[in-house]
Amino acid sequence: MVQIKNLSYSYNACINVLENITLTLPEGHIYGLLGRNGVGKSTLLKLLSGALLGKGSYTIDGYDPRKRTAEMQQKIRLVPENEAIFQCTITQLAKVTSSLYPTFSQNIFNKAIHEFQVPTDLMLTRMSLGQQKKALISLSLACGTPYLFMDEPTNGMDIPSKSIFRKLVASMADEKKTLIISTHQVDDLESLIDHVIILAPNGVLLNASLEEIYEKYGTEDLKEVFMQVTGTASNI
Amino acid sequence: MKLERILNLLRYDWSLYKRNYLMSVCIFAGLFLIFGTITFLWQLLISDPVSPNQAPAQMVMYGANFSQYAEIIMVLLVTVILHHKFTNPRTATAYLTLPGTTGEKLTVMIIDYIVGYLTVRAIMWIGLALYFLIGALVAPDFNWGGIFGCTDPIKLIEYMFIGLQGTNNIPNFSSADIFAELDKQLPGMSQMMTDFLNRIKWWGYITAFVNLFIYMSLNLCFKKNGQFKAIASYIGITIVIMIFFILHSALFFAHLATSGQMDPNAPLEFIRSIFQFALIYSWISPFLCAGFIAILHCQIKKKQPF
Repeated sequence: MVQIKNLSYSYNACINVLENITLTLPEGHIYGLLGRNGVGKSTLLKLLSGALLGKGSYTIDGYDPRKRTAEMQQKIRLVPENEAIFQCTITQLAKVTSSLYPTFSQNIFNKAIHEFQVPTDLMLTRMSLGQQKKALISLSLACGTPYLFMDEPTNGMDIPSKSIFRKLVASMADEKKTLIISTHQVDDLESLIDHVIILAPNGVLLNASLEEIYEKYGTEDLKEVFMQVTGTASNI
Repeated sequence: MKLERILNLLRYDWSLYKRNYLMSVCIFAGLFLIFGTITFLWQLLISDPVSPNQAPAQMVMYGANFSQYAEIIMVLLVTVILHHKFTNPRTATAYLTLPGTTGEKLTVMIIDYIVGYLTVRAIMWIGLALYFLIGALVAPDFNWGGIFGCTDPIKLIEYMFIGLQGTNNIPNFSSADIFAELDKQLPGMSQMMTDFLNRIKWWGYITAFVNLFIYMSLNLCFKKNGQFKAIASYIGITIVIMIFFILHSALFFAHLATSGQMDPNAPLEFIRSIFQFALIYSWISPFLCAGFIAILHCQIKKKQPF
């Protein structure tokens, strides 16, 4: 379970990106993290994965990400929007990464690489953006961590690849896995997510399941709900 | 700390960064050999040794002078390449979120640093060996036995691997002639030089450790902009001081080698001030390092990566 209370973060003294964020996210769901540009979606994911250190109280399964313990880091995998691209093939990267994650699955890696049709003998630096994305997402899915945070995972992917992505993620989702996907491409992931979080600069505008959203807004069209919620700045 | 995880992190480092590392090693080895050869040829052109015994000693001093300060730069640069992961926010994010405690990642950094340091030392050793080989080929009449005839292997290794500028630790070294010559022209200068060179020896060790700490601090803060500026300004100051010191030392020794005696019109105070400056530098350098560490400590306390 992810528990966040009064989380704040600023990159420097002048720019407060997140302020007073309070959330409780039970495990076993696929969360869509939405919000306007610059509201702190990527920052929130980096805070939860321990890449950044925020103020306030936030834990994942009781672990404080700020302590950066190995046990906690083995449970979390972050797929940033702009990943580091190394001078190696995806197979070589998988080999050195797999030794760090006890839950790594070679079968899932091979399956994802095959479905995405990622060239395994091509250096990552020589791949297109879309190919890099698919390769690195395959690696992250294969890590098998209980918590997987993805920031704009479908950026740069072609339409068939987006469909493959949805299929792969859906096949891996279960009650023990928690995914938080930050995205602007609501259409790509609408059929995948079952819980929506909409962030604002000074808090959380919406934190509800799709059923609750339908009951409240009478629609499951997330774009419409997003415009309503961010336009009126009302909270649920 | 788990040894297995440390080894896995080292394997991760080596697999992903070995190309950068090997390329930078080749570049620095090449630069070192080129500079060493140019330095030797320049010395050969301008020097007119009083006796064949003195030429090898002069060469060793020139080589040691260059190598001791060049190594500081090379170690920093080689390990910066190894720690590219901290100078780029994407690679920093990737590394920070990898499973591993801070202690384990710190251990990996220390090992990276030692590998970088030993690599630089190995390059310098090969460079010095080639340096003398070129000297033996170009100037076969010189008495190279004074160097290669050293019968104490520990002293020879100590010289090669620690980059001693001191000449009085190698029994067969013929540089005593230079000291005798110095004493004739500048009373007390040889003693000052010996004291200075002995101090340099110990400060060499201390500076190496201080460099290790400063480098660890630079990486621990993880702040891209601050780290880059800190590294750049530290390297910049060291380069400026190094160039100034080497130029003055080289001119001083070149003049001595050329004439075999000091120019009686050369202001003694100016010459003494060169050594004073070098002494001050050898004292200041670790404090400069400490100053940077103190500045960066503020960032470490905030624990704000990039």
